Amino acid sequence: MEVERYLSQVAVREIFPSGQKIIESSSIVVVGMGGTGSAIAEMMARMGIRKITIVDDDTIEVSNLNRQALYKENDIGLKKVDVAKVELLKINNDVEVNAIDQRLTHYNAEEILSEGDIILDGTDNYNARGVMNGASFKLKKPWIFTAVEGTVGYVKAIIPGKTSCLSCFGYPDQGEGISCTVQGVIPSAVRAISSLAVTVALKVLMERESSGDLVYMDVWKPTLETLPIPRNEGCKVCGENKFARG
Amino acid sequence: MKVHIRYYAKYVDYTGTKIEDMEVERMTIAELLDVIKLKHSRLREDKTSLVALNSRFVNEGMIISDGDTVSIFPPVSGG
Repeated sequence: MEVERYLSQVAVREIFPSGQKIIESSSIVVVGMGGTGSAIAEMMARMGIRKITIVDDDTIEVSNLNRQALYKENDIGLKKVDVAKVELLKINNDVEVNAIDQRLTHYNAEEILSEGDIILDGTDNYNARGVMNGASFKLKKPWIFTAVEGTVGYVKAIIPGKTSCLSCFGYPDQGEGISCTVQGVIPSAVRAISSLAVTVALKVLMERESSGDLVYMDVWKPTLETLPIPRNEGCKVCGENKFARG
Repeated sequence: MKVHIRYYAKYVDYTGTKIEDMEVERMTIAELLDVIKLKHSRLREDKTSLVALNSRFVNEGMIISDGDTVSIFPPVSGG
């Protein structure tokens, strides 16, 4: 461990050296390298995570630059994962970065998501989250759901076998949804949700998160609410009785 | 009976209010949601809304009771 580099976070009681050891031995997969995904990857690299797998098939556009970490004007037109990998290694060369220039689908999800101890959602559509939800349940890998729009966003830990999943409370698992470019989003909301997602992910890695509550945040008001989501026995993905529904 | 309805995020704009009370008869959360969507037609723009009963997400088949608070969230998708 580079003691000086991580001193400020190791000094925090919630991390301490034992937590830092977990961070430095953990691997994450970040699906989607837009606003939330790029900020999550940057924070995790700075904190010293062992390995980051980043997944996205998009190129950088000028409309990304107001909120997406790691990208600059002269990166427009380049692949997000290629630029992100270079920038993440500049931030922390001790981190192993695996860049996957693909869109997550039912066909590649299990192979890609098995790369991490935990999966972080940086996507902007229902389809990808539905794929993540199903594959993570099969792989028994925890994942952190995030979504953001306008001034608000959600974060929820999904731990197979322990918490409710995305389908337990009726969140859509199909469709494109409305992108940030169309719906609008304030960059500070993106960063706030990303920060919360990283914190929840650390807690899961340190086995200090098992609630699976949905956190709702509005950075404009500002307000933050935590709402419990019990497991749904009839859930089509994780329910105990999913096969008994006929 | 009276229930309290709380709207979140863009639904505040769609309904023009953060909270309102409604007089309704005994019904499920799903049926209440239909009633609310009749009153506030813009809510129908989302195929799905996320609904919590007394600050807890529950099955939409649950029956509401007098004095309950029903919170309605949009299915935010961006990232």
